[in-house]
Amino acid sequence: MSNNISNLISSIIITTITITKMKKKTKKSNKDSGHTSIKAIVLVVLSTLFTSFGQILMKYGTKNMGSFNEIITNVPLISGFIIYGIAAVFLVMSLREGHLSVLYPFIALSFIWVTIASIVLFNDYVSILNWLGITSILVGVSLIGYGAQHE
Amino acid sequence: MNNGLFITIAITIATIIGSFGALFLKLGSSRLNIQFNFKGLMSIIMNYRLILGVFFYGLSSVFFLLALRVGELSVVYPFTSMSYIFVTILSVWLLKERINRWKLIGIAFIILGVVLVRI
Repeated sequence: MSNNISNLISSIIITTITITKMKKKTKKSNKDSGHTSIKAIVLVVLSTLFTSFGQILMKYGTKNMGSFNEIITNVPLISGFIIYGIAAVFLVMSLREGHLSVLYPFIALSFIWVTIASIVLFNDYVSILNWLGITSILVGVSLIGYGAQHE
Repeated sequence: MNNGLFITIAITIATIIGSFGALFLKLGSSRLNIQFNFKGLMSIIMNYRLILGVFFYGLSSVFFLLALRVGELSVVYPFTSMSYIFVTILSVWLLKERINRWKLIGIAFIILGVVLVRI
């Protein structure tokens, strides 16, 4: 009788241990495969938008900076720096939620935003090769996004 | 030292340092404590990985500016797409992230794209 009870107790203990082990394992594997979330991708895209906006403001600001006074009263330049800082915050928030090897290449999107802005704001000339480049960046970023979801 | 060699060396150093910057930002970001109080603020200020990441980014832009003093932007900029290769190597090597053929082809397209956009 006592033998039976001890058998029962030991089997219960063993099953609980295996279940907790399995739970730990699934938890760990979930975290490991931790697919880069859509939230992370949205955050990194926002970060590139802010980076490009900051760059454009800085480019605009560098037009008139001779003396020290002109630099510290240069509103576009200073707001460009502040927007750069905001972009960095978005980047760090994004990196929390996903893999670096997936999110880092998305930074290349800023090339596209800057090119679009230079067409709209500065009337810059964009060659066919440049357009091919933009297409290539978009294809590349899409492939990385696809690769991240199909591991 | 001729200009071409100087630009190549300066940009290679800049991109390697910049890639470590991205690595440290990633390492620091997972240790952040997002709270709008003193403790949360301290977790940002005392996060040496995050500070190191920002520092490396700053240092890489110094080397980038050195290269820009010698070469034109359209020549210098495409070189910076080396950073996509370095970041991928670092994240596979040190962060144990997995890479597959889609990601590799994607990186190749992005590098091609960056070169073409800046031509």
